[in-house]
Amino acid sequence: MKGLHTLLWREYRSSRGWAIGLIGSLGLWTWIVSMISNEGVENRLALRSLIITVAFAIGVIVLSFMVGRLHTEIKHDEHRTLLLSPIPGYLHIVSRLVFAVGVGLIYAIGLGTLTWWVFSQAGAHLGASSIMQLVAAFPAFGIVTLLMPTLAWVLLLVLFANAYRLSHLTWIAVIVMCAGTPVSLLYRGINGLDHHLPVWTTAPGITDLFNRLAGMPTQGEGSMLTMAVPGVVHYGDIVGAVLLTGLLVFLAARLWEEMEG
Amino acid sequence: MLAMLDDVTKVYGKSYGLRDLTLEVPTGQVIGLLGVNGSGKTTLLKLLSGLLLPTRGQVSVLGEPPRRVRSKLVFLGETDAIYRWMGPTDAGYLMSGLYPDFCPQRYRALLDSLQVPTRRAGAMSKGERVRLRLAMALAREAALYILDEPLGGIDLAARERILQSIVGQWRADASIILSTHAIAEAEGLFDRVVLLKQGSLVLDALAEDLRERGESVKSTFLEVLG
Repeated sequence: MKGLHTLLWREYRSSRGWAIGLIGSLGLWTWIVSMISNEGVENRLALRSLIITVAFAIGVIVLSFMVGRLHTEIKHDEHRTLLLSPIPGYLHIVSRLVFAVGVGLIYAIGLGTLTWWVFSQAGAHLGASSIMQLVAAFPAFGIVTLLMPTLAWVLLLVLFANAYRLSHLTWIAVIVMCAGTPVSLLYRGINGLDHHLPVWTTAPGITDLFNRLAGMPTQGEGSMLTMAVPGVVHYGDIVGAVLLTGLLVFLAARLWEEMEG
Repeated sequence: MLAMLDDVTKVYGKSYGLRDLTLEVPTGQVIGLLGVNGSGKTTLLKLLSGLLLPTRGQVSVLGEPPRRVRSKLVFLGETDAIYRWMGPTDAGYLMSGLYPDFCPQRYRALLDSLQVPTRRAGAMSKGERVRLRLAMALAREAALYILDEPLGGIDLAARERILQSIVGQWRADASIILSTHAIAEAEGLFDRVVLLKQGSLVLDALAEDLRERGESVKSTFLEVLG
């Protein structure tokens, strides 16, 4: 455990600028969302939801770059102190993943709270339990199904490229191969599991609001909202993503153990 | 035998890093690994530390592949590889968390004797960073210390301090392999001299035998490789 604690501390010291910047950007997103004052509830809701979706996507990209800086560490041989240590490879990978997911969790809870405020403003009847569920839905859905496999994939890709000293040309083939593998596995997993596992309705008030909006002339915007906010979370998605992340971490840890330095 | 390379060849693409090299490293020796640039010194040291895997042959430390005994090995590479945000205190914390044999008291003594400043590595000169890395490396109680060019690009005063630190940390139950171009300064340290040329071993001799013959390590180096 001391090794993991030290590696998490190293990750914090190395990446705290990125973490503080990303969490600090929540203030910016809140300000942008609060500045939108279009006529019409559904237009305002659609635009605000779109901004929150973009904010989440930007968060995933920023965190991917944050963990992807392992490439620079390897390029400058800074990772040797870690590579030569007797700490198992999987702890090196897990520490990077845990720190980034932790930052993503704080960011997602912030966005979940912002979403609750946006929907309350739009007239959704959200009770106390719905607030908690909605705030929890972002981490459950966004972090587990999107952020975790993405970050694990980035770590695997960086290690793969450095372990085999890929040239610029072969990078393209590797990216295509590595991108295709998790995506196809994820979809296969989700399709297989969704039929067997229950769903979690995160906030019934939001589902009601979606139903009301779906009956309105702005039906397209209503369907966009369902993408922006996970009113219903499928447990199958979560199980599939956790399994995929585990596989990618296992492969990345093996590469860490085997790579030349 | 502490470490052994048995008929080892390392190939990079179409060129040879090392060719059919056999070498034994007993306990308690300070070995000077010498050779011109590109002779295979760094390749040999990386193979011993487990950072590289041999194309052919076997490398073992304490009877195991080097990667299995990482906790018994210290490798100080020639590249200026250290996190720029890290100061001596951070480095000590990192090392004590990663390496069970890291000795904080010895580390503090080494920081003092090597005169390492307290600022972060990014704000240090190259020589100061080398001294910090050396303090991190020598504060461990390992069986084999592999030091690749610790004197490269270092001023004379700092070289003296570094050499004194290496001498001061020598133990009878450990060995040191030191690669350097600063032969004249370091030759008093060596128990044994290994000379490489184009990836092959061209001389493996005890320093005492050379001295008895009235030869210095430097003159032997120039005679064999010059």
